[in-house]
Amino acid sequence: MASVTYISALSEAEYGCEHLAAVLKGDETTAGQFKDRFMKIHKSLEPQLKNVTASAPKTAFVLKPKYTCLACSEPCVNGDRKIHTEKTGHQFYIEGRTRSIFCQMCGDFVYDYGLERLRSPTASVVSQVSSKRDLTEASYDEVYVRNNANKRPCSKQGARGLYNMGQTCYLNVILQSMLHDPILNTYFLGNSHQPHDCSLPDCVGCAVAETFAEFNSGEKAEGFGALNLLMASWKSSSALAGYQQQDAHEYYQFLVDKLHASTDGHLEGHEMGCPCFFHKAFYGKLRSSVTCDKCGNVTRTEDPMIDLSLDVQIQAKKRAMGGTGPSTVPTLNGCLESFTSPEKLMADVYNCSGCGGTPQKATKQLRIKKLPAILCMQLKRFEHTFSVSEKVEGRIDFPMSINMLPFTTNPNCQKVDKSRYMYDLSSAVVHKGKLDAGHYYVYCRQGDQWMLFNDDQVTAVTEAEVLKADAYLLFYNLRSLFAGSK
Amino acid sequence: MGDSNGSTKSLPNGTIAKLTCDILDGTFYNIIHDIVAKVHRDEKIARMRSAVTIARQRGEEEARRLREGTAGKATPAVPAKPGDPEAEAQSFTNIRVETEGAIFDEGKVYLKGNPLKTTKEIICPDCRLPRLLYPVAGIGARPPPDPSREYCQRQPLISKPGHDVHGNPFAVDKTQTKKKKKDKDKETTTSNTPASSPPGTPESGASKEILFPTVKCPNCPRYFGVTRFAMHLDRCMGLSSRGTGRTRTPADSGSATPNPASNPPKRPLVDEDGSSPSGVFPKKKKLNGSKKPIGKKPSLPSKLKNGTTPDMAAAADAEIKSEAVGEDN
Repeated sequence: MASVTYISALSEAEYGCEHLAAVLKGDETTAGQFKDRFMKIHKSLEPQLKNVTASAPKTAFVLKPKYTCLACSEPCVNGDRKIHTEKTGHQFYIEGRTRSIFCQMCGDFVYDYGLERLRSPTASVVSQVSSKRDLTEASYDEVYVRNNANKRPCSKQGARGLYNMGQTCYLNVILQSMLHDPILNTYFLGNSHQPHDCSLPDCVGCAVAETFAEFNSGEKAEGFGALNLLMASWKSSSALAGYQQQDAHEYYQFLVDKLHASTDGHLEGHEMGCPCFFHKAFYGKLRSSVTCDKCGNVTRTEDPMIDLSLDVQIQAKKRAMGGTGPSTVPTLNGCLESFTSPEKLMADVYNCSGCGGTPQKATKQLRIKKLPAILCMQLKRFEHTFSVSEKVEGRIDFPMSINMLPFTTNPNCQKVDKSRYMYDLSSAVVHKGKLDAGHYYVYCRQGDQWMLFNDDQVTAVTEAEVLKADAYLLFYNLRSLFAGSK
Repeated sequence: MGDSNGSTKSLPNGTIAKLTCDILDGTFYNIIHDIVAKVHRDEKIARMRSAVTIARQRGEEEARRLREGTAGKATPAVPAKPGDPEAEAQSFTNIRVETEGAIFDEGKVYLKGNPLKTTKEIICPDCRLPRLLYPVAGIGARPPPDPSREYCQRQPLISKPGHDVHGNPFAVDKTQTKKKKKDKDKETTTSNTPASSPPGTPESGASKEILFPTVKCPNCPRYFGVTRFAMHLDRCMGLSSRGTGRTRTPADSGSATPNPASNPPKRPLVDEDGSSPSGVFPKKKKLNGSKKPIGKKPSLPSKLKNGTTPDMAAAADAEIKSEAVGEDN
């Protein structure tokens, strides 16, 4: 799960249990062999992709979890394990579902820190980066960090509200979802934007950095007001300034833009491939390809995007027409599908260069070329008729995690690592009320716990409540940063 | 029909029933297995860490004791001050401490036995205080096992109607006196029982309501209730004179990204009045004086626009009052 669950290496035991210690503490070769076998069996037990099982159906005689012996790879069911150990003296098994180690001597699952790290999805990258770093060295580093950095005091983390300063809930919801973003937390709490070194006037980055520091100071439980951020925002955008309600999505775009502008070494033009942190975190690329219906000439353009604005209307209309049955609720996947599906262009909007610049009918399709680490999706809950704009109410189903691969430029690629496209929900912003007046609140995840932030009122909620919400903005986080950065 | 009949004939009676039963059985087993495995994993890792934390703490205490002992013998040449990991690691040589669940041996900690059996308490690895396993108030609350002990501040979230996850009542506005009283009555009746138990949370939580705090405007030297800050800042920055023509709705956002510098020429209008919006500090007093007449005028159209005249008027009045009183706060 994407969250900063920082666990001190100093609080980890050297080995998962005494019996495991006996094996791993021994000479290098035994320990190495054990680890190799562990990884091999661990990999072989990996849940297989659907298409693989479809092509070659395996016959399974039991559905219940099997325990594979680490020494001889023999699968045992729960009851046979003891007999196998008595017969062969093999002590360790890997259970097939959770792939944890079972120690027959302990009669219990054991969780070894070193082996757990080895098997985590990021392990291959980590081991490349630091193949020789072991636990002892890691704990040296940690002692160093502990003695040279401010420690966050124990508290209910991430559970502080933000006071509504008077029609500023649009700011609060966006800020709150950023405050709960693990990547941004790491950036700001790592002093990557230092207000006292910053020379920009009315810098929004400084104001956000201040808010992050305040939010995480930990001493206080009550909310606080993001005064300086409000002032900095108003000063740098006349469109947002003033005592009135604003669109949260617009504010999000503004904030991302300003944060990007506030970093050192950013490039103004998005085409240049800016190397800055915010660019990597927030900016993706959309590819729009227009195919001429007459000559088949394809024109491709790539545009930077910081969010996906998805049409809800089409979904709602489909439902009204009874396309998929009246009872179905529109889904986020459906919205994404219609967003990335081909769209007919009338002859008067496109001039084909292949046909000598004459206006032609064409087909346009949008695809995601590059995904950002923090993916914001806006569900366009507005309907425009000739003079009236209305809000589309109602639920749109969204998942806790989503695979974005089908919406990218190469949706059918089999070889890619699936985890590079898995996104987990981190925040959901809800708008209540009408188009021109209403209230925002946001559900944010802190670790595995969901909380509802209604300005300064913070309450605990269940995952089910979050999924039931009528979301307006959804923030998804890339599950594995290591995989994504490759 | 004939085909399916034929195929079922070849199987002995009750095969499908047996198969269905087995599949369901296996599936339910797996669901329960996964849930239990997750709980087991979380719990065992927490206990492991607790065992290690206890052992490490003992080890460090032992090391400190020895160090102080040697320091007493006048060898301050090895000032193993925290900050140097090497020195700290050195100070652990030849120290071996055994606790119920783990062994501390020269800076490394090894488990002893099964932590689920040896370790009963969850200790926070950061502050090394025991963790509370149940919220101290609200739904599912239990009093702390030992009221005289200090517990880790990372407690389970409290869920209690009208209260936040910390168990504090929601902040209320000073102006809503009637509502406040009602809430207060409710609180005193419901929270009598838990109020006696938690030492961590203030016992006065039930009887004392939380008010919105007063904040200082970063643009000028005055103080306001936080809920009225935006309204004040609007005037303080001299924005309100030009809010009238624009009602932005989310509908506008479709194509338009906020464009800074869209209407800069309007600012000088305010400047001409003499109250510089950028709040140059020598002008503080002047700003104070000229504020009220300027502030009142443009608030009129906005009342109409928002359509909540009595509320807004009251709020505006209250703001003016707080402006007057504000300096004392």
